[in-house]
Amino acid sequence: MIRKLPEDLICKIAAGEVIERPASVVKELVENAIDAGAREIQIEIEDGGRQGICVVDDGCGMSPEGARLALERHATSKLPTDEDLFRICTLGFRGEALPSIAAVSWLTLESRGRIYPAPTGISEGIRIEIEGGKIVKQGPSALPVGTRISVRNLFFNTPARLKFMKGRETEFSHISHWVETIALAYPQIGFTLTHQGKRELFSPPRANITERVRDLLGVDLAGAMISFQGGRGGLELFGVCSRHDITSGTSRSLYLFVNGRAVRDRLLQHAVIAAYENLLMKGRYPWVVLYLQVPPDFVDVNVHPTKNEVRFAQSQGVHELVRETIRGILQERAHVGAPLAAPLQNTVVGRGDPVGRPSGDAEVLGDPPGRPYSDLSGGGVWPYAPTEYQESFKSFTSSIRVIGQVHQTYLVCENDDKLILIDQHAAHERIGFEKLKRQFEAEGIARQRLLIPENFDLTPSDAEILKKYLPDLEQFGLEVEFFGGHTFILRTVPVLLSDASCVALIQDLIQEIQAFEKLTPIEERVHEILERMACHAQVRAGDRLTPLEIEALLAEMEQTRFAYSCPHGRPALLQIPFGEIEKWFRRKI
Amino acid sequence: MELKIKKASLQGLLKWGQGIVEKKSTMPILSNILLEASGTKLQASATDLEIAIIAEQEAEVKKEGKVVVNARNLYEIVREAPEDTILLTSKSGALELVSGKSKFKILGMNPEEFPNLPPLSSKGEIAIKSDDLEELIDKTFYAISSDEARRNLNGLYLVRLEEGDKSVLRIVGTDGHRLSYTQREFGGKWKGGKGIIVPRKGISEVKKLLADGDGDLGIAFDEKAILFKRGPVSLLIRLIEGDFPAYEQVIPKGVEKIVSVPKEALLGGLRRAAILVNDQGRGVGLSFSAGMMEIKAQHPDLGEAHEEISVAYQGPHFQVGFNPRYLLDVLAVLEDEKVVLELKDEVSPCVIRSEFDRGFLALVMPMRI
Repeated sequence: MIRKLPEDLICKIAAGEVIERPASVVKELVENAIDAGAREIQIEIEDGGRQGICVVDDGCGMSPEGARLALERHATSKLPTDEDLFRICTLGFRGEALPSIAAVSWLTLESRGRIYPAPTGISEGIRIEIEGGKIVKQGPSALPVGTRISVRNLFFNTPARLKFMKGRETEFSHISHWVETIALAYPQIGFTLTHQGKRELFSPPRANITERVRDLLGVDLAGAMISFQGGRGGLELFGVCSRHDITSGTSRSLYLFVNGRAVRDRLLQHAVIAAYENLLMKGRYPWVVLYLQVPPDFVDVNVHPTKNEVRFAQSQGVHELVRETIRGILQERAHVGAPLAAPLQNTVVGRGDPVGRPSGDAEVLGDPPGRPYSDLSGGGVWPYAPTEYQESFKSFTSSIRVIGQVHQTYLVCENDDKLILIDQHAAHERIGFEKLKRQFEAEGIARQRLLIPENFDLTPSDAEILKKYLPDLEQFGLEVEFFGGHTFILRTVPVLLSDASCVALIQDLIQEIQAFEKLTPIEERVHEILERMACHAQVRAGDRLTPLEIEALLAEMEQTRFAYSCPHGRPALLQIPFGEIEKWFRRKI
Repeated sequence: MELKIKKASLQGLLKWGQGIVEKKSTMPILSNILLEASGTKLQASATDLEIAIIAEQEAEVKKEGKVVVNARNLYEIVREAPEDTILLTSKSGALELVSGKSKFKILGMNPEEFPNLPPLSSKGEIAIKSDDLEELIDKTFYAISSDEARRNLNGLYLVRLEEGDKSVLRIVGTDGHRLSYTQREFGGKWKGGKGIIVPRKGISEVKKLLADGDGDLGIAFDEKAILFKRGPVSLLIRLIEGDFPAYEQVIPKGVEKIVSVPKEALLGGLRRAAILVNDQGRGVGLSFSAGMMEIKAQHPDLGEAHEEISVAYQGPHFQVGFNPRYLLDVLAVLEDEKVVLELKDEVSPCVIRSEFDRGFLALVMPMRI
């Protein structure tokens, strides 16, 4: 029997998509606060969010009518016209969050709004209490302009979700990671996060990202970050990334923002990791805070209700921009413990689109004075614009004085303020690898024709993808011909890979193309072989080097990109400031 | 089981299994050897489930029986035994070995668990001289593929051809980049024209059997396996299932550029040029003009090589690149003073023939450099 589902059940189902765990509630409420133009946001959590979540902002607030409307499904102030869906400029837009939360909890909403257009007019405050989506009580309330929403008994009427909630600490760690992330996106907004009454995270409104990174990730990490900036064809990219030797064990250390929205986008993640290729050990991730500004019609955020995923109109261009920008900056400056660039002036980071304000569903919504949006519209200068480069690696190596070799493995050197240790094998390996790579790139790919061409079949969808990429494959020495149906014929293979199974490689490639529209696996495979060749050809630990040989090695390092690490990501060079050594000997406390 | 055997006989018996017993295996019994005493013989069997090897030797058997012990371990103990005679006795699953004053008790496994070797349903037989077979294998083995993904190229293809009223056995090896075959007359019964593929590892064992074994060679096979029997040693190899590629189709026809070149000069020239392009994924360039062949190689760091060889050639000038290793592999198996290269264009394979061995043919695919 087919029946029409009752309204409250529909609400619960919809809530299931958006509200997955307490952190989702925090996310939705904080995003609303940001869209309302808040300058300070306070988040109070009880028992990992299982008992209570309270978000207070000083944004534009809502009028009593607006507040009542906001609790209905698909009611929003953020899409003034239908066309705006294709030019999303606010964090929220689906009009789902508040009613979804209300459907699965006891929610109290208090709000007081400004009246538009008169900047002085202020509406009355209202307080609405809802249990499981039904208004149980409403009345006037006294509070300053802004909104305060508190949520209790989350999932009280959805036992399945309740059962799958994790412990207090786990749930809180999700919340705090998310707050950290959004706080990095909006340095101009102050964030306070408390758990069980204890302040866990605090960062007042900041003028720039540097201070925010310092507040959230700590002074040490902030000191190991390098800023980068790039752009092309309407895309603008900036942010900070850690030196290759400062890493994390999980991809949570990648903070990626597209138009001010935090995303866990595979394409961006992949591009970042690809930028660090041969610089990281397996399974390690760099710390990266990355902001990508794209024209709103360039990106589709309406892929998933939680808006974690985005789609780009030109994903390949985005991938290349991110990879090349970060790769470039690492090449240039990652060799020394580069502190953050000169103190940053002006600027707020956030949305770069020229949206004026979150215009309203109701005439009462106003544009509070001093809103950050308008500051952004001009797309202020990115504060990390490299004013002066740190000493280049070249002048760095030439300032080194060699002291000698110890353990027939390490070179001991000094410059004016540091003791420098170099792993001779790792350094030489990198030199050999970069050299082989240059040769390989310069000469093009030698290809071996197959005597007996290999036939292979693909699934219809994979076949469609491969057909489009045949010319690209040929550039890499894989000449593949479409035979008809889903069958292809492999006619040539790159000589370097002639001992490997190239059909398996092509299958890997298709996976990669599907996800990232890139042919990185071929490059990676080639690099692996070059790495192996480099590893065997170079001096090893245990080889005695004469002073002349050491000088020669340093001279070569000077000419080599990424000389500070071996191609497998192990460090080749360590620096100990004399200040540190003085501390060891208690000369300095 | 209880028997007395000469040390040399026992050592000769045990050496056969050593190449195929698994060093690391998820099935421990495959690291073992099965010893069976019956009549006046001691029989030793080893297997890795793809290949089985069974050898027997004369022994003074006092009590029949069987035992399973670690193959490697037993072999080393026997090799170091102090006296010329050895007494073997099985005692509740273990093997007691006595030689002079030295006495070992070697723990064993249950003989009933040793995998049974499937019987061969005799379908075909090949009668060929062991020297002939050895030559066939030597001239083709180098071309076998090591790419596990192309199963059907991981072995040698044995096929019967009819030339006039004679039967010839042709053996073909290829890895998809180059190919080599040669053939010999043979006797025996082999119906039908479908060939069989014998895996690389099995062929390695056959080579050992041909080099070290003694006595007449007998070969029998069915759809699943092939048996090589020489004197007291039998080698049973599971065949690779699947079809060997239609290799005859890739032999170019209408070849016009025929070059006859002194083998030693070509071998030396390629070896020298290969010094510059070793392991780097680079090739050597060969260019031909009337009466002259040039070998060229270059490396951005090392330099260039250039060598001229006078050859018998009367065609237009042309140039083609090869992986020098592939050409060197072919030249290494030829006895000729002169080899004949037949070339068509820079995308077709080069055909190499031997004056001395008329049935021989090798193909090497060019590379683009």
